[in-house]
Amino acid sequence: MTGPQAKAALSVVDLHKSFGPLEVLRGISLDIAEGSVVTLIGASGSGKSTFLRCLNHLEQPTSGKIYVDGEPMGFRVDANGVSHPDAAHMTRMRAKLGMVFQQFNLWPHMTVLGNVIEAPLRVKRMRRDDAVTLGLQFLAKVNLLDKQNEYPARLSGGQQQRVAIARALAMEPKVMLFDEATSSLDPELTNEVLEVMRNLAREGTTMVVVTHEMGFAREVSDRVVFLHQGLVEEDGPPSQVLGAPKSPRCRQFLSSVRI
Amino acid sequence: MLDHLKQSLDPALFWEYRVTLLAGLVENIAIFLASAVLASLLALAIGLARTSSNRFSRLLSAGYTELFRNTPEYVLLVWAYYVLPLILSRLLAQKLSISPVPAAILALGFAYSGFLSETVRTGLLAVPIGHREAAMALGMSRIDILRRIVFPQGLRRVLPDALNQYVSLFKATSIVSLIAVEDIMYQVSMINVEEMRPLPLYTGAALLYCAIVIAASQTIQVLTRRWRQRGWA
Repeated sequence: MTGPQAKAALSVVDLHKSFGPLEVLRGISLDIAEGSVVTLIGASGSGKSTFLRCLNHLEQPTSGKIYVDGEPMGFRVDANGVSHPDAAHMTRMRAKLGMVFQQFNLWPHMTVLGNVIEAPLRVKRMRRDDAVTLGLQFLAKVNLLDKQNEYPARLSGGQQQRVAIARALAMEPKVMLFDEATSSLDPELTNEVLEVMRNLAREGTTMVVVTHEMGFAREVSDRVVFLHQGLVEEDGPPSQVLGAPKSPRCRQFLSSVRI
Repeated sequence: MLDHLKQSLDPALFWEYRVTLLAGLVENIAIFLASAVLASLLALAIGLARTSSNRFSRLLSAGYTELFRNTPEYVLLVWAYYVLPLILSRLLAQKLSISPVPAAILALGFAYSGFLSETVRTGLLAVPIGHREAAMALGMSRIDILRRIVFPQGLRRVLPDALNQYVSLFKATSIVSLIAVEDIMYQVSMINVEEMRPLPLYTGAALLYCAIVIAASQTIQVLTRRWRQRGWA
């Protein structure tokens, strides 16, 4: 078995995922270096979102291994180095991957601050005042300190998504996953979210970003991965993948996006 | 005409027996509360099972719901009082009996757990899957997700409906006198034996039930309206 790379924050080995007869991921291997920003692009149906959702086991991979910080996802490794399937361990491992969804998915019955401190309280069992201090710190980071006591329904889409980012950050994850975080926002609201993501990248947050924002991919990412029919078709620095793609499919995709 | 009306309404008669009648009403309320608690707990469990990913528990819980929703409360009442002790006696090989009050609580609790589990199911299904996934992605445990994310949202949504079910349950407590629970209807028939005045007695009982239920439904409507204004429910 191929082990995880030493410096990889996240390591994916031969990931397969099928929904019934439909094979969406057909063997993807990727190492995400610590502190790097990797953007996944590809046509709809290429498996980008499924790939992201397999990383934290929101979708159960059909086969393949995922290592977060060297630890296998969904398995507990005992003293002899043997792995055992372990659901409770997987729940804990999930907290190491922060996820931001296209639909924000804030909990409407909790205030903004309530949303942010919920997981630190329940999962990390933090004391309430510590969690609040932490939560406010991350709300400040996404520029929403003044909205801490509002309910999500009273916020704009862009504000809601920034709260969702703060909520994921509050668990201080190893890697942040962004699943089309700006796709359901009006164009004038995407920028405030992208700005927050840019800042995170600048601070050295390890990020895996599924996006249609080619400008963001070019400016911010260290690496762009083009997926096609469940396989990595092209992988390299943005200048190469977006500027001078080798694969004809990638070229075709980019021309269709640019219009 | 007026004479007839006077015959059927006689508050003085009710006043005379107020202590007995009140004792009956207390019995109704006690049975209502106990069976409401039983029904709610069962409904939570069954509602959860109905939305489970396990096909077997979905099937089993659907069967449960259909069984209790479609069996009349009266039949369940009689069954719990007469048949259940017989079965238990056979099984445990010793003579058992069940008192009227526990039998009534069991029968009504199970009957209404069928209705309420449908309500719970609707509420749980109304919580967007994304809200659950967000909690899962943050590493929250299954029990915390239910307790903190799914139940508060789902149950709030169906609260008006659930409260109406409780009103029906209260109405249904009027049948427990059939197995000799000393509730308000039982007291009314006992008084009738003495006074031989069914007209004012049963009319009075009807009005009493009606007044309580109207008061409860009105309160629920006011509460629901307020919740809606706050964006709940």
